[in-house]
Amino acid sequence: MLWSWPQVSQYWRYFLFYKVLEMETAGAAPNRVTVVFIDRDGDRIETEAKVGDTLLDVAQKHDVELEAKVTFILRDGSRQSVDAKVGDNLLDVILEHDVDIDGFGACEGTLACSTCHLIFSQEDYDKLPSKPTDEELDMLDLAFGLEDTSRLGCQVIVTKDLDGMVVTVPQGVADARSGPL
Amino acid sequence: MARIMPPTESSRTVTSFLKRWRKSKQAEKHSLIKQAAHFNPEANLQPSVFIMSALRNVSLRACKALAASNSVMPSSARVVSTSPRKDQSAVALTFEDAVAAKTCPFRKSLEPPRDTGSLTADLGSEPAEVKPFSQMPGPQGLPFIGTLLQYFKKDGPKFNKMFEVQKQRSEEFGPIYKEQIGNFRTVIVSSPWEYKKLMRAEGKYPNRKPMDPISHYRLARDMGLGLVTAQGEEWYKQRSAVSKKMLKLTEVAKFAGHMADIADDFVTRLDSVRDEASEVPQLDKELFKWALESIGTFLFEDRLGCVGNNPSSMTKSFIENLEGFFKALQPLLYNLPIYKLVPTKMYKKFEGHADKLFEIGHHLVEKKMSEMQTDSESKSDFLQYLMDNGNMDSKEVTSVAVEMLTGGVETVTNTMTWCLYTLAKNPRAQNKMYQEIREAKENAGGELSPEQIAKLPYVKAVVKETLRKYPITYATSRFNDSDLEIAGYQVPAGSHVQANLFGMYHNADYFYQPEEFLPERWLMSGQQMDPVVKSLYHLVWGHGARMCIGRRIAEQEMHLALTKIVDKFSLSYHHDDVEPVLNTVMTPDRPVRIRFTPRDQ
Repeated sequence: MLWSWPQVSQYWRYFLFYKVLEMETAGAAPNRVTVVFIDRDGDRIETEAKVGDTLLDVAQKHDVELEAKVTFILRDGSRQSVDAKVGDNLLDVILEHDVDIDGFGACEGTLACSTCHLIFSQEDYDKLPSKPTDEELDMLDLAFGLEDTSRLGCQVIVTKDLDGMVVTVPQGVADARSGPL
Repeated sequence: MARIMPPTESSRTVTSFLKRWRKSKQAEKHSLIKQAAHFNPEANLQPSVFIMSALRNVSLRACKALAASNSVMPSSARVVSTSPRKDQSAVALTFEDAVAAKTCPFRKSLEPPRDTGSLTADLGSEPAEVKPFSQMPGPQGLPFIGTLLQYFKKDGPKFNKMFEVQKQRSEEFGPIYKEQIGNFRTVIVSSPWEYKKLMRAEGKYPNRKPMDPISHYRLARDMGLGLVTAQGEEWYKQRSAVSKKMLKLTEVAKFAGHMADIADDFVTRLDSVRDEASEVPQLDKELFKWALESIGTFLFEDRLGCVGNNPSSMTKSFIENLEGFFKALQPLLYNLPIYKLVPTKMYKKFEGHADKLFEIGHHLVEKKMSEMQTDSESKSDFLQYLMDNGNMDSKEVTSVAVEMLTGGVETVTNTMTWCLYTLAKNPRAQNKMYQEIREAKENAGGELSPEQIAKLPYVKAVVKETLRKYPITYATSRFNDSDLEIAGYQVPAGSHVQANLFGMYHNADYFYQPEEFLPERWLMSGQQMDPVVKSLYHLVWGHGARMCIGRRIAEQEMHLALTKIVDKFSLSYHHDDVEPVLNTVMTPDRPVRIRFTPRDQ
């Protein structure tokens, strides 16, 4: 079988809530396996997968939503961890989980502002699924507190690899309003 | 005629010059500031104002030194020497000083350190004392009408040269000044760091000065203010729906194929209408048709048929009325708004053009809508989305569509005109762009796909540099929500604050040799500008939630068409220079006659 246990356990790390329980060859078709996801309520979701598929493909094909844990370090230094849906962008994640960041995402992910500016660790930055486009880099010039590992949240798609990542929300709109005047 | 330098050589020299100039400028900046700090520790000068003047001296000197030593531009027809210049040894010394000056108290404000902890660094200088608004400098005017009369004097400032007026006044009054024209007062900011303060304080519904004649007209016709002029929640509802389809790169890219076809047809059309001198008579009209066809394909997912040899009378009428619309809008925008009391002659003219535009737009949308109902093949993703997700009725959809047609044609046409003009005037840049296209084609093994064209860095840089030299919208503005400190002065909430884009784009403190056409400065490879200065480019499109909603579409259209035009033709210009004037947007003061010579001849 192409899919050996060490690989599965390697994926295991990334799924906090959906775990691959068992895999067995399904009857006559030797290249098909059954993958069982168990959701947070303990329900079993049995899916059939082709050997060689990634678990993300399998999950998406069967409408199983995968999640990755993302921790935001907010402007006041506090931390907030959320379970981000794999496939969403970080702006969606922040809006969906009501992470309270004043002025965040003013243009609603249309690449017209830089208010969804986020800073990553170098390690996480390298793991991000897509490199910034020229348009995103251009827009980042407008950001406050720009770093080499800065990205716009609306352009970063959550993947399973990003589980456990810690993202810093730079100082932004809020404190300008309580500026010198 | 100027001899064109071989592209590799010229590009190297330009890049190395940019590099050296930036280095020397930075070094001089630091040494000057250091001196200033040393000699005037208790100086009463506003730091920002002081730095501005110090900077101006530096760049003036730097430019003079460069001009004296050699010019980079091909017009000098000389290959630039790369051996050390006389003034370079001096630069080396001042650079040492600058290194030693790292403790300079003003350093922070000039070169923001890139750590998130000290965010104030991005905000320019923070003055110890904020002066009241009343002390802000500016041209003196009369009570009630401000400086209005000056604009009617023979040798006074001119409304159709407002960009020049603001540039000169910012040179006279510094990074911030106020001017009251008629009953309307504006605060003009001419420093990227200072304008950023305003951008940063922006709320959810940014408030921009509406174009009064348009809102007056739309209210009189009972059609809602529309995306351009509406404010607050009315604006937000439309914006939020439209931007999801119009601004997202993935959505816009879906139309790249159609737009590339239109660009191909346009190139064919240009080829066929060339006269015996290889010039295109009425180039602006041809560009209009191309721009209308391009935005039309986005709205209706169909061809309007403007670019062919037999455009419909409807197309012609639309184009003529659109031109008239913007021409009449310009005086209405700047003169006293008498039309609000009695319909003036100019306003009636404006109204007539606007009526006609709405009629045509309405006709197009209605036609499409009824087609969509009867013919299952006919679809429009955009219009459908507005109705389904934007909760808009057909009247609102029509209003949006007409705004797209009016807003996306005049602007794109003039930007393209300036692009073609600057390329024709700058054989070096044009050649470099052509080389980039040719190399990309070789690598692709034939024709370039729209996706490949979208990745050509020099083509993008040419558009950016053109918009820097000729910002078709010379300023962008906001009414600030809250009291703000800008450039050392208190600006009360509700003020109309304008960024002096033309002045900043042509300021040697920010841009090396601002009057030269150097697309290289925008390239992502090589030496980078200060990000705050670099971000000035965006402002020609406006900013934040009110940024031009057609920006990505316009960029895509222009990148495709420019690539295809330069690939097919060599452009040259053989007449007197044209000058920019305002016809609401910045247009050339007379028709631009560019020679299009096919490269395969």
